[in-house]
Amino acid sequence: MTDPGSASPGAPASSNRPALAVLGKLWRNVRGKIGMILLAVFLVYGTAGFLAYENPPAAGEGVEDRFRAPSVEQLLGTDNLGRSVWEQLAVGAGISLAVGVAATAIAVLIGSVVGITSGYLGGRFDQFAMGITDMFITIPALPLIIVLAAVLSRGLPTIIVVIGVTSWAVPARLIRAEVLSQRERTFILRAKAIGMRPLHIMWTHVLPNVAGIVLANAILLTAAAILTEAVLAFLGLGDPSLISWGKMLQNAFSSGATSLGYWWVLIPPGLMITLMVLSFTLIGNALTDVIDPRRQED
Amino acid sequence: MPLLDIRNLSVEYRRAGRVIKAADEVSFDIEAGTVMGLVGESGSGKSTLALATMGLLPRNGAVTGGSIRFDSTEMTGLDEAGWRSVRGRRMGMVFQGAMNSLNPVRRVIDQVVEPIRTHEPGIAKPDAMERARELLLMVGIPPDRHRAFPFEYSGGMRQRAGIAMALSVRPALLIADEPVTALDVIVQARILRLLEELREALNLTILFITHDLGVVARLCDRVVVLYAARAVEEGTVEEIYDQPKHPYTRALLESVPNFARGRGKSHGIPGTPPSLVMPPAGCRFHPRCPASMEICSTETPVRSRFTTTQAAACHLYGEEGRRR
Repeated sequence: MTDPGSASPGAPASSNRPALAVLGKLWRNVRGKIGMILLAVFLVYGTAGFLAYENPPAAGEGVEDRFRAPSVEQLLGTDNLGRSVWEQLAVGAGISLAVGVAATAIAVLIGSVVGITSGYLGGRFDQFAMGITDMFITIPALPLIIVLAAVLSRGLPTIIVVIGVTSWAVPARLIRAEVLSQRERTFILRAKAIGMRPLHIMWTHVLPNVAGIVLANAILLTAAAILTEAVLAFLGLGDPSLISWGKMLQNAFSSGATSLGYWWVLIPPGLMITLMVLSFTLIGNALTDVIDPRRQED
Repeated sequence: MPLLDIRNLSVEYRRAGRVIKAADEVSFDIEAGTVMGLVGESGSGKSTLALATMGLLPRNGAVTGGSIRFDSTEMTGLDEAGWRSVRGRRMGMVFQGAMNSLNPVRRVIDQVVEPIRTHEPGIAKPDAMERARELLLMVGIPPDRHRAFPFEYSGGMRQRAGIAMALSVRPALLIADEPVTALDVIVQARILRLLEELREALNLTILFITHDLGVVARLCDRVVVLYAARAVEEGTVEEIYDQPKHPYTRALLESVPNFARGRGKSHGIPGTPPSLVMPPAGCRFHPRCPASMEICSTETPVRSRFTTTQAAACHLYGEEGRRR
């Protein structure tokens, strides 16, 4: 029992690397595995698209390039301006991932700060903070996003900020609820008895104990952010100079591809959005199972 | 001059519009270098006294009267910053060694370093780590287990780590709230021996809270017996065990199984401890007391002194401690 490597038989083998242990468990979960494979494909595809193609892709030379059906030289055909659908899909993957991750980072940051301070400090501050949070939950997000996106300057940073600022409220509530239960545990009282400051306790004792929930929630938020970006682009509120999957769908509608039956302009971006959202949702749900020991089957 | 002097301390909790008086005019003091046992059933107000002494009462609790003097300084009315400079540095606290007593997601040594870095902000990290290692060794945790997580520890080891943390900045007073309660008897004995050794080595003053009279006899110099938020009797360990005056103290002693005395039979105390929302009038023990008299249900007994160290609040005795 003195050998540190085999210290306690019940402990996970990789207890010194908690992050790796979680990844390993995620890989052993069916949903987690499918989601991770899908996400890996998207990451490679998005990176390759970012490096290989320009955004937006070059327009075609003449009329004969427009709406070309898929063929050997144009894998997925072209759109109304003769731009390659394959190239558009590839650059769109990068946009979706960037918006999803960046907007989520903003939302998680605000949500964690509000949720942890509110739950830990309690009292009047809690009431005030949760009042604002409830306001953000109650206001229908999409109209608010549309108004903000229309008023602010058009561009990718605006989209990211708008999505981030409108989606922190639900995570803030979830994190607060978890903090409320953590706050009553003895090690928090011990930290107070040691003379630690509230901010220090929140950072070293509360945050690490809610990090799992924050992470699982962040991944589900990413899926929602990707979907919102597609909706905004589809409504014409995205960055007008960039091609994204939502923008491709908008093009397909406005150029009449839907009524003309040019399926290759319509189906690929729709499918891509679905698959990417699916991959994040699968990983997020699997992570919730993996982190919460009560939900584990074994 | 006692290190800790608690006089007529009252603490109240408010819950759903009701007031719960968890400490009612409790007085006792602890001389430096001695161990005081605080004994009583669950809900008698032991932990409340400990938390009040650390300034750690929950939000709905407050000191409503009396004084806490620590090292000749009045502590009631101290602000948060004042309390923070005392907590950990001048007073350390050890909790029940349950799973929750250590942060499950942080390594033990990182948690032992915390009080050192909190109270000595200028200290370099390697120095603080070295101090933490020494502390863990002092409480008997071998070096190869220092970087483990709390779930890899046994109950006894968690309690040792907790003691190391509480002692890391060498406080004058150690408050131990049921430190051996969740442990099995052999581990209990080891932790008690450790506390005895540390007391000798560091000249510690300890306020030891427990419901276990056996533990008290082993470690403490003096004892205060609490019943329903009031101190009913106090004295040296010898006085309390050999000549208990208050009927509750006697009943408590008789309820401990004693294998030397008989066949391991114990006598329980009939009835249950009273509600602190509506405590009985007069002496709070009178509904369960075998020696109950008429006066007991109407008048609160005053303290009768028997010796310089022993006193009890019971109508059986007059002011000077003579039996009526």
